[in-house]
Amino acid sequence: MSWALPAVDALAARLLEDRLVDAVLGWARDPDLPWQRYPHRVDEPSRVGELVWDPFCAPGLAKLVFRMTEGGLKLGVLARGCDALGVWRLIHDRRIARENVYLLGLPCPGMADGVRVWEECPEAFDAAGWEDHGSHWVAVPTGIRLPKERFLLDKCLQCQVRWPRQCDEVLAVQGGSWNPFCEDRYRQVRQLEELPLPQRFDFWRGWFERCLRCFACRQVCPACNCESCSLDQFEPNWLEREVGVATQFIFHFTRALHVAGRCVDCGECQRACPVGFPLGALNRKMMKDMEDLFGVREPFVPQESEPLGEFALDDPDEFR
Amino acid sequence: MKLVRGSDMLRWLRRCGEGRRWVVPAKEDRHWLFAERDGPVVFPPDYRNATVGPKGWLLPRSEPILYYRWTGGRVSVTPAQGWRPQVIYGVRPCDLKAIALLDSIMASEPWPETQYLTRRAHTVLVGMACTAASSCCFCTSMGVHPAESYAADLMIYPLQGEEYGVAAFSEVGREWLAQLEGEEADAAFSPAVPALSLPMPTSLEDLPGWLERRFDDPGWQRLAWRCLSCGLCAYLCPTCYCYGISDVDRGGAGRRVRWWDACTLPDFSRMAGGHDPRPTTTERVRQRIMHKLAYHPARQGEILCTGCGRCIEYCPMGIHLPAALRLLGGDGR
Amino acid sequence: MSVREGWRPKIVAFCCNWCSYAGADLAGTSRIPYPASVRIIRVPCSGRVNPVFVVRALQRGADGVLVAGCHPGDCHYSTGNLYARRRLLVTRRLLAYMGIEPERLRLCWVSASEGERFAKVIEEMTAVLEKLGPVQQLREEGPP
Ligand code: SF4
Ligand code: SF4
Ligand code: SF4
Ligand code: SF4
Ligand code: SF4
Ligand code: FES
Repeated sequence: MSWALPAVDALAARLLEDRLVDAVLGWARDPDLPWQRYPHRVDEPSRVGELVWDPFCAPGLAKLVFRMTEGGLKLGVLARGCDALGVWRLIHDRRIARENVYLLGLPCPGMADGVRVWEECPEAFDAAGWEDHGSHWVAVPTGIRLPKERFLLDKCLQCQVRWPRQCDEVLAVQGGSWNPFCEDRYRQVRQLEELPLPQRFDFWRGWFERCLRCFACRQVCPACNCESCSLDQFEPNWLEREVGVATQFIFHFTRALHVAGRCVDCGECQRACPVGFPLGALNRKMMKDMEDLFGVREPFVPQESEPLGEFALDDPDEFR
Repeated sequence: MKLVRGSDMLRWLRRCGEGRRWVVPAKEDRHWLFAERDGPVVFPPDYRNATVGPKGWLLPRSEPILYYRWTGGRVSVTPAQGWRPQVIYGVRPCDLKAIALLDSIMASEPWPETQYLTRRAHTVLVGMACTAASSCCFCTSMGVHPAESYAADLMIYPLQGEEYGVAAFSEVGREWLAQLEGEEADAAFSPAVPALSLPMPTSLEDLPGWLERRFDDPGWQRLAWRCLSCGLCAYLCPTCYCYGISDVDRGGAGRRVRWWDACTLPDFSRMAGGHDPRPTTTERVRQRIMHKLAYHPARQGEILCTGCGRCIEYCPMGIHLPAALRLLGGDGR
Repeated sequence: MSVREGWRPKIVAFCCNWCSYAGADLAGTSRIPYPASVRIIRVPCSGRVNPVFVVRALQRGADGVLVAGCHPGDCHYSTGNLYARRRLLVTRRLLAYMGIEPERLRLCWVSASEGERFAKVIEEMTAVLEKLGPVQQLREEGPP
């Protein structure tokens, strides 16, 4: 069984034909760059062939759905686990109207770092289709095997949301199985927690120096959907435009706290960051604390209310 | 050109650069960037170019330009001293060309950027010709050549194995080179062949006009609708130089700071009162690309893109210059 | 950085208008001695305290931050203090994770009649901060 691109196409076409949606959002091949897939919108049933579903569909779609549906457009969204949760984050934040999206769930086998595959195994791109063999992607008909351990995108290596939840329909395609590369989602957090305090600060300071403050992490994030971000405001000037240790601390501390209990763990921030800032280590710290302190079971699954938007009378009081 | 063994070259460079700060490509985690180190280094074969180029060492991400203090209704101002003599080592030709472009922009009258120019005057640029291109390089399409020296004082050409050729292109460069023991020789250097070559819709000379005629083309929207409005492309771009200025005021004293800004950010062109002449990503992405390929070339005769490929490799939504040219060419997708 | 001779820790205390601020006042009027190193900022409710206030204070000269509010059940706005507790718990852990001693942030409940309690909290905190010394990691680069 392959990845069943025809099934994806057929369903997208049906939705458009039945006028259930005005457009379908998915991915398309970049004609200039063999390894690249970019978000692509299809409005006509006859054009669903432009959509692609293979191991190189890196970009997350949730944040785009926000802007696309603002004017009332009804959108079908090809949604992996991360995309679906991101869209739900935006639905619960009243940024997307539930009735404006139709979520077509795609069980996800994990996505590859396309540039890396292109550099190390360009033949892979001659494939007509792909199969998911758990630890490998296998190209059809060439039979080329790409080990996931080597080529998975960072965000997919650490992914715990491969199965698309809360979708209107889930396509019967390969993927969505448990991710063996993320046995312990808090491993890095624990490692950092165990460092002596000054080393923890040095760890982050090293990254503060590298962070360009380009805000790609914020812009791509479905949880960062504020009308006017506090980090952009001049009055009050929460974050100076100046970039130094002090202001970078404010930036990353604020971003982490603002997504605490709201982050859907889609890993998009991590993917977007050009310098590899470990944003995930901050996000997951917040998730871990939501679990440890307030007993939230799956802090990355958006709910009607958020952990920091409520309280319990017996919340821990560890201020001594 | 002088021929020299790698280890001798590093020793010679270190000696000449005594007392200067060394800024060299360094691999931090998985990414290359330019960082301060105690001297020049040998590059492992996987070094193509750094994700974050050397731009920030000439035009820092943010820097104070002056300090002020109010006393008894009067303000005293001290200009900032923001430079140290430095060597930037291992700079690729695309970035060298970009520095040459920045040099002329920053020197332009009537308001030359003294801080940039001072820092620049105290910088020795040691370039490194490319023997292998990364998958996103497209310098030659932009008229930039992977063995050319541009703004460099010295150029290094990796030859066979441990052997390097070194040539000088400025006063300082020649002074340094004079101190290198080695024979003058001609050596054949085979430069990288960039992976991407753009199907240019027109000659580079006609590009500004070609683009101006397509200012209202629907292709812009087809490209830019998915832009996230971050600053990534502009901040990684070696020729993007826009900046903003604000005061960090601490009650009666403070500093005036200059910081990178980017025309792709949502508040870049928002005016007092709220009007924004570039309200959507379409206008903003168009502005960035037009500035590089149309406005600047029309005014200064130079294209503001050197083909380093960073926007191709790192834009999280797959927006890049080649795509713009294709979409405007009418291919439709 | 070596601790300067005669250095005393500075504490910024965000005190809720309805109880703790009055509590602090009472400590003063009843002449209960407590370290003078505390700067009190009145807030309408402990729930008003944005975690960024804490970092800002530490960056601009404070060595510790105290947030004082009404006892659970007594908040003038019913539950502001309970939201504050959750938020500041997470804040405190995040500070520690990013390399700042968590003891520099404390939340406590002080009613209008608990002048003595206020004084005691300040004393305890001062003792803790004296051991920690001045903030080393976060001080922002000031104007010269
Ligand atoms: S994407 Fe990375 S470099 Fe850009 S602001 Fe976020 S952490 Fe910093
Ligand atoms: S913080 Fe990062 S992982 Fe969490 S929702 Fe935002 S983009 Fe996704
Ligand atoms: S950082 Fe905070 S204020 Fe800014 S968009 Fe994200 S959640 Fe909103
Ligand atoms: S083009 Fe790409 S990198 Fe540039 S602002 Fe848009 S999303 Fe960010
Ligand atoms: S774009 Fe050209 S000059 Fe720049 S690194 Fe690539 S090959 Fe070298
Ligand atoms: S009013 Fe005192 S804590 Fe809310």
